[in-house]
Amino acid sequence: MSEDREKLKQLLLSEEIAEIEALRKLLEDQQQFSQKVSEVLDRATDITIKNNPKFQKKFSKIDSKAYVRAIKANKQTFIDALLPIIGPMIRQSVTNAIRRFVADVNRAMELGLSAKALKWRWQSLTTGVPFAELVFNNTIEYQVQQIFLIDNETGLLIEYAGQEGALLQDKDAMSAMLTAIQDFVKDSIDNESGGLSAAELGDKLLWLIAGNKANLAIVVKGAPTNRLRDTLTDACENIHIEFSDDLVNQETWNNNPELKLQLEQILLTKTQSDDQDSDKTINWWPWLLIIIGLFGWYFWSNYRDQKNQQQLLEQLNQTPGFVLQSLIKDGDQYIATGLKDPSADLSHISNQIQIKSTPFISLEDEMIAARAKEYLAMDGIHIHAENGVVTLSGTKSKPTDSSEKFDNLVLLPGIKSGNNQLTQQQSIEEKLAEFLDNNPTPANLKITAAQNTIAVTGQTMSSLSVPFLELLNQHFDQVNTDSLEIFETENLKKQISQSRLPMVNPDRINDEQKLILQTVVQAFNLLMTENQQLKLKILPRSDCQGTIEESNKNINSRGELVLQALLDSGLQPDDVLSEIVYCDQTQNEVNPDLLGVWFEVKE
Amino acid sequence: MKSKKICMIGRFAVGKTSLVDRFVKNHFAEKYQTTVGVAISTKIMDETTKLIIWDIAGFEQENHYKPYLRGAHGIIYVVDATEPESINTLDLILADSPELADKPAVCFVNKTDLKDDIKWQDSFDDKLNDIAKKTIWTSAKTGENVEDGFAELNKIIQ
Ligand SMILES: Nc1nc2c(ncn2[C@@H]2O[C@H](COP(=O)(O)OP(=O)(O)OP(=O)(O)O)[C@@H](O)[C@H]2O)c(=O)[nH]1
Ligand SMILES: [Mg+2]
Repeated sequence: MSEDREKLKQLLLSEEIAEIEALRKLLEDQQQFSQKVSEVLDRATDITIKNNPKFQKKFSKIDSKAYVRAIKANKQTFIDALLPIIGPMIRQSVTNAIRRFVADVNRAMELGLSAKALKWRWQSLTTGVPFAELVFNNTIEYQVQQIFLIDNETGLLIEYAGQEGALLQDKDAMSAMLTAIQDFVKDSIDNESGGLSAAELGDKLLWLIAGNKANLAIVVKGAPTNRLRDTLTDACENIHIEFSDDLVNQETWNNNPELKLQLEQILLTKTQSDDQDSDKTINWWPWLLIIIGLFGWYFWSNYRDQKNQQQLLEQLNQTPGFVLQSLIKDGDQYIATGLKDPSADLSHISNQIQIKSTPFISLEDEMIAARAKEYLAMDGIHIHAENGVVTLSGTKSKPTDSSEKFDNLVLLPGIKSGNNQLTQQQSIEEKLAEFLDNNPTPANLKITAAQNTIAVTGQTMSSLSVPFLELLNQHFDQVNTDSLEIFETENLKKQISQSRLPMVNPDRINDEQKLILQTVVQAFNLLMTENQQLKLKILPRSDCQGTIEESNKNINSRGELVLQALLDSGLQPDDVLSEIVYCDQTQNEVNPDLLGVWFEVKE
Repeated sequence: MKSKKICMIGRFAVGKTSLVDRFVKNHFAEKYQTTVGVAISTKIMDETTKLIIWDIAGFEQENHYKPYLRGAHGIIYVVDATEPESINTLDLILADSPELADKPAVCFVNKTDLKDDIKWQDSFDDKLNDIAKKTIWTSAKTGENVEDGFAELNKIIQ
């Protein structure tokens, strides 16, 4: 049965069967089939897309798995291809992140530790205002907190950006209300001015920026600037251009991530320090001054130490008999090590220095002199050493003094020879004799020397002795004039002229009268030392009682007696004059006061 | 979530505000406080819809209500079952704003709890049927049909 049917088929359809066979081959031979399909594919897709636009989407649909596979398989190729694009993006992003991080750290540091922050915390504690609020008020100029993009017509919210749970919580009601208000204002107040543009909401500001299809309502905290308004207006315009379709397509409202992102970009915050960079930077001046001060102090104290050390060094170096080896600072003290001659005098060295010395013999001239001086132990002499030759000068008191020691000087180290220029010291007598040789002693003065004292005795006229005594005082330390009597010329003359020798008995001169005469003679002699030409005038008198003859005889007798007495006491006849005043008439009364001899000094 | 703008329109004192209050806050006040301009409330109906309810001041009192109607997705006309004049008011409103006729709308006949005072005529039904797709008898005071009424509009505007 089936065979027959096959046969029949062959008879009737052999050509068709062959054709079908050929077609099957074509289908099975992939290469050939592809060739065929490719010939029509281009047109076919055009027609398909034309008839069914959705096909395009399907066509261009990305199989993400395929991408993942491809990337896994050819990692390097992708990396090579993407690197030029991604590299700069990554860099930019990292730079931004770091910049933000630095800014955040700066801010945190500033807020965490600054005096400002402490002040605000205190304010917050005392006033009850939240700390964050104070920080905001003090650091943020303004902050865009919420942005509503509201459809003009329906008052429905198209998109929102900002903190959730912020001031305006029911965003839809808010949008509607704002639109209603906007409408109300436009309608009832002034059509021309474009309606409400700003309102105050507690401590916040509400800004309305009108757009063609949608309005921007913006909640700003702080004190926004006009520039912010410009920025927001620009943003509103941009949104109208970029999202024009979305603004009318209610399907996309409240669910448009791109638009939301766009809005989030205008959530701007401006900190006060954005303008005032100088405020943000640390004020370096006090630190700079402190550092300069420290440096100054350091250098000055160093310089002072240096100078001090220099002075000490000089002091030590200039000390004879000390050879400085090292000077080390030890705290406030210095330790000087060196060689010290036993005769060296270190008493003048500053007590800042502690000396650690080793003895040595110095051959410096100063030390040689000091050694010689120590050895001789003589006061008041001058010892000078030069190139090992020691010269002694000055005066010595005793002739024997030190002569033996002087001979031994050469045995001391460093002394080659001695040169003794010491002079013997003069005795006071010698000195006085020498003085008197040069200065003659005034008459009547007696000058003696005893026990370093010059004693001047005798009687002398002031005019003669005073210059001499002055000289004497200049030459000698101790001049004793206690026993010296010095007279003035006038005083002596007066004394003489006031002397009266009472003489009742004209025949003789008694002892008492002799004493008076002696005084007169003495005074006159003194005057004579001054002036040899002086004469002593005697004036015998009588009371002219009794007879004139008798009286005149008595006068003569008295004169002669006194003259003789004066000559007896050493006066020369030339030295004496007499002036006798005779009686020319007698007196009745006896007057003893008129009896006697008077004196006068005549030149 | 889609937001839909709906407007409450009607004569003054018909109970527009009372109905919104009942619906949104489940609250009723005897005291009459007239609405000035517009009051806005929102109510989430389901996962997909949030109603933004514009409670517009009574027609006679508010001359500037027209802008508030712009873009409304749905309208709730409110009349007072005890006050026939409130039905006439709807005519005036529609005459003033003919574009309202195209909007999806329902009509609330309110204050139905005041049964003794109801002054209703059959002609009113016809009139309301012309204006709105549905007429719902409500009482803001008791809450009767209030939620259903809003749900009805919500259905229509989807
Ligand atoms: N008994 C009763 N009283 C109602 C009802 N609805 C509203 N009222 C009262 O009617 C008065 C007016 O209500 P409103 O809701 O303020 O009226 P309205 O339509 O908003 O009025 P306007 O805002 O002036 O346009 C109030 O005293 C309400 O208590 C109700 O269903 N039953
Ligand atoms: Mg009201």
